[in-house]
Amino acid sequence: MQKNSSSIILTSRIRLARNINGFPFPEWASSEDQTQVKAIVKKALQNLPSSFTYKELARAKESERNLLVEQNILSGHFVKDHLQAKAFAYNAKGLSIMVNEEDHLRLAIQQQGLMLEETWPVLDKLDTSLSEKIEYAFSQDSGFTTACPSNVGTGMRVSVMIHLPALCLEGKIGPMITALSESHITVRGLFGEGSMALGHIFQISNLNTLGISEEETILYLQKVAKSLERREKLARKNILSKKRTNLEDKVSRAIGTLKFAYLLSYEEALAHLSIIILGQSLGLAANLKPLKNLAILSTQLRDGHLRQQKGKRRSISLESLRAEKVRVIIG
Amino acid sequence: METFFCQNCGENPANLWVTKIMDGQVTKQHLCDECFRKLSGYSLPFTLALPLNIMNPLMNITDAIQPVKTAKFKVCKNCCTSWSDFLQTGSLGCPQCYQSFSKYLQPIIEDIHSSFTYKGKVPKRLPDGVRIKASLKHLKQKLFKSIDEENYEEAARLRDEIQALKKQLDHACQDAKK
Repeated sequence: MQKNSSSIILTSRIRLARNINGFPFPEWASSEDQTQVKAIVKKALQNLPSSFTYKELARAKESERNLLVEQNILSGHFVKDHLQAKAFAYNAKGLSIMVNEEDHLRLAIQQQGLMLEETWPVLDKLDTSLSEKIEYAFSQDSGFTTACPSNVGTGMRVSVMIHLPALCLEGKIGPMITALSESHITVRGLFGEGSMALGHIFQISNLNTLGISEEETILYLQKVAKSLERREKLARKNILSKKRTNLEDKVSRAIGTLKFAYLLSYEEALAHLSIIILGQSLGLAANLKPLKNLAILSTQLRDGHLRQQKGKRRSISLESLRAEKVRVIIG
Repeated sequence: METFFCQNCGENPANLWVTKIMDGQVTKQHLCDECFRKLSGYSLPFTLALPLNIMNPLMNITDAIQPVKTAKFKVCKNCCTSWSDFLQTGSLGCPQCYQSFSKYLQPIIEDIHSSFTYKGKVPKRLPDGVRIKASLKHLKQKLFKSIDEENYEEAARLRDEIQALKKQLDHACQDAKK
């Protein structure tokens, strides 16, 4: 599933918002309604072609919930409160389902690289199978009805996570974001709304769910992601030919910091890894072992994942553990 | 990432793009929540839930807010959620709220999506009439597309499928009358 994987386009994600006819949306549903919704979804998931691990959110340990949030399988909002009302399911194909999030069902699929055309049929098939067993809230005029009008219609949000360090260094990211906003594309930093773009990682997603079909949304996002990838490659070549010494300086400083730091915050680690990966893509830092996809690193270095690796070393701080882990990564 | 500052206080980051229409005069401003509340007299907690990230093409808040004074006590008969409940949480109460609040939701939907036309898939399990009508709409869109692309073989296949569905719809309507 990695044929389109590149160091610039990190991950692709598609999610569908669905609700069950006859029930209030989760925000306004009684606990009896919420329990019934969970039971309907649990029953519908049985006897599907691909099997799912189904779990009540309240039965998942806090550490498991945090890991799933960091892996983008659950949303931060989902694990915040009312755990009893919620459930989730996932499988090995990268499919995941949240029950009683903002909508009754949030179906999603996530893969590394630009994999929208490949993953959409898989998610579409799950959605169609569920729609045979569950009567979705749907109207012929407005499509799938959702708790928030921003999702009504296809209920589809297609997101691509993309690494754009050269465009950031060249100062071209601001005008580019403005242009994308005018083209009905939402641009966010790595961790969603309002956050800074940590590690020069951006998430682009469609804004519209009416007036555009699922296939058109996917093709549009794919086109935008490829165009950004081309611009980033051009910016990288430009930096190498015109500002090589500056870039070598930045890369070497990043290596130095990561090699010798004893304490690393997540933000600092990601910022330096981003610059080293940029350098490696241009043939610099050849004495280091090639770094993995930044999407994988950005997950592995988060607090929840590090906490899992503490083992018996309970007193070690996360910053210290992160610095240790980064030293191993860069070799 | 580019940050817009509030054009009223100049201190807080702006998270609202407000369009005012007064006596035919249109003014647009970036505002923070606090200044919006001071200037408009409306509390707007639902901004937290709607996609009003400053990077989005933003909704026209006053269009959505202007009817609020009269709509405040408007309630969905199906779920008893009021329009002001929606403004406070950003979540409608039930699927029927789209009909109950259609007058107030229309400007919001138009601002977000720039369209009212649904062009997507149709779920399998629906009441017969709704399913057939939705499928007909979907197939007609596909038919126009294939004609545009001069794919006449596909267009002929879609035309036959549409005719068969129309017959099914007639039967479904007759059954419903009985």
